[in-house]
Amino acid sequence: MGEAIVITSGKGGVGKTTTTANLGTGLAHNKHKICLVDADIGLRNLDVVLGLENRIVYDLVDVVEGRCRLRQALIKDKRYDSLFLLPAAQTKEKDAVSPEQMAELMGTLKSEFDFIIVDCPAGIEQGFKNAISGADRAVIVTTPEVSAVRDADRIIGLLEAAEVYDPQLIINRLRPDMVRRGDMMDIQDIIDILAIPLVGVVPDDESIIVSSNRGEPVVLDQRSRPGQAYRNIVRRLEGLEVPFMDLEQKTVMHRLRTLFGIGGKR
Amino acid sequence: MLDFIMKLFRGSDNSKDQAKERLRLVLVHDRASLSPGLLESLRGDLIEVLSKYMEIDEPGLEVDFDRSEDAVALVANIPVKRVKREND
Amino acid sequence: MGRGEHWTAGQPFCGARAWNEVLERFLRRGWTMTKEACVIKGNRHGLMLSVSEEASFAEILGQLREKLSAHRDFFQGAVVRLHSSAAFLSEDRVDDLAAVVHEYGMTLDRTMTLEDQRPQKQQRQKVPEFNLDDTKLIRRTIRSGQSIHYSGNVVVMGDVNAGSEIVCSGDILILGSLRGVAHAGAEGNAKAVVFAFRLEPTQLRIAHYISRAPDEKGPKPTGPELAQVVDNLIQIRPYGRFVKR
Repeated sequence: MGEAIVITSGKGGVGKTTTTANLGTGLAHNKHKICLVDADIGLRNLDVVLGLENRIVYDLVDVVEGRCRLRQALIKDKRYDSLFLLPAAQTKEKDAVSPEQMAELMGTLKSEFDFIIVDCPAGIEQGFKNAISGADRAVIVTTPEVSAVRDADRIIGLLEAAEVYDPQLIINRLRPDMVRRGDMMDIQDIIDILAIPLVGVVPDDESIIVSSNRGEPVVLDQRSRPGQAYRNIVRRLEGLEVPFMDLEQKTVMHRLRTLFGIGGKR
Repeated sequence: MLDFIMKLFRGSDNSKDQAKERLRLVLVHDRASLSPGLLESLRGDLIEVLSKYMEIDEPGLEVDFDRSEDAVALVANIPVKRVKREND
Repeated sequence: MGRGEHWTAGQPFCGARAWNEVLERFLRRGWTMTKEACVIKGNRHGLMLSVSEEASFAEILGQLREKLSAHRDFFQGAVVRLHSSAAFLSEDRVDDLAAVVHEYGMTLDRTMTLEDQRPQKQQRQKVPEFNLDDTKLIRRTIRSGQSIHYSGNVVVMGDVNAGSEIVCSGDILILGSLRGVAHAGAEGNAKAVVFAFRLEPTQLRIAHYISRAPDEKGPKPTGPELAQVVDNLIQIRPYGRFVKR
């Protein structure tokens, strides 16, 4: 019996879809059988991030409404035979699916896959309610910004109300240089506020955009720092203890400040 | 450059701390909100309890959160028609 | 795109006469706002007055007067034959036309030449899967998330962006770029075609055939292209080459 993990954030544009694609690819790379579900009906993007947009014939709504069998709608990844995508419908409304239908679908998928990773739409309306329906656990993506952390806090509350317990946190787009200058909240600041366990920190890096341009998840890029961060998260999702990356690339100035005892806050 | 040196030695007054402080206030407010459903049930419970001691103007009862700069209070405005005597 | 380049309706086209008719109809609709209500032309039988059935009778009379007065000397003494259908021109109307023609010193031959029209109607009946009334004209860009479903043909004057879809039982004609999904002949007509000025769709479907864009970026199309099922495969070829074949 597999496990359904919903990737959510409340705020849009913090990297849910990128995170979903990378975690799914990383888990498939480690030989797990994975199904990615794009729950963002009407604004699908996971297909494009994975470079599978031209293979879509049927979608989630078609499955739920019985126009096709589940197998017909599942799209096999280009690189991994054990990675599948269930795409969202692009031309339908968010309320084309009900939470009950989603929960049923999750149940079916869990009997066939090790992990089902659901890319949740931004917002807290119907699409969110559908996406978390049937989820066993949640991973919340946030960025070190006031608005994103605030929305993450709201989402944590809503998940509790929906009885999805023990969410984990991914801090995305962290810029160590800005943290060092004191112009960005650091990891500890955010954990203090949200009070949920951290599952990973992904540094902001150009390689993310380059790989999304190519439709190749950055997790496969061995030299990329965000790629390494995603690989670590994958291992943690598998239940392994992996130490957190040292994102502070220490500079001479940083050492000096530490020496004087005025900087170096962590 | 001067700005940079100032930043180095000032320690606290940087934008990160502003972000934290603003976030703290925002969350105090956010977390202190009840859904309309819960607020309505709080209202009902208040009426039930208060009715033991006094006759109140039920439709005039207002319950809401009052959000000031850095604190949140639950404020109830309860018009009283008649306080009950012990022998009532 | 001017009229009379390779868009002229009557060009031979690979046996896909149904498609040709769509184009013809489109051209007529798009460019004949100024179409003449009446035309006088000569052929080997002599002068012929042909009357548009789409114009009002008042327009026809007005234009006839205009034309005849402009070439009064040229038409003097000629006999002109009426070319129209009896259903459209009642006896009274023919009388009116004859009177106008007479004013300018000509005679109207009232035997109507309907022969040219009858076979055309019969031919249309021979193509039962295609009904000219079933064409939807869309004059805007179809954007991501929008979908057009239609029983018949669809003509889009604009682009069809990625993330949108057009599904219809007939042909699809895009006067712009096709980047989304197009499904022609959706009710099983494998003879349906998809045409676009820039044919770079995410996916093409004709009847039960499906093809998708190659994963590797190929060369961009340089001109209008047409997709149709050939040997059980959806094939795309430049439109110009089709015409020459």
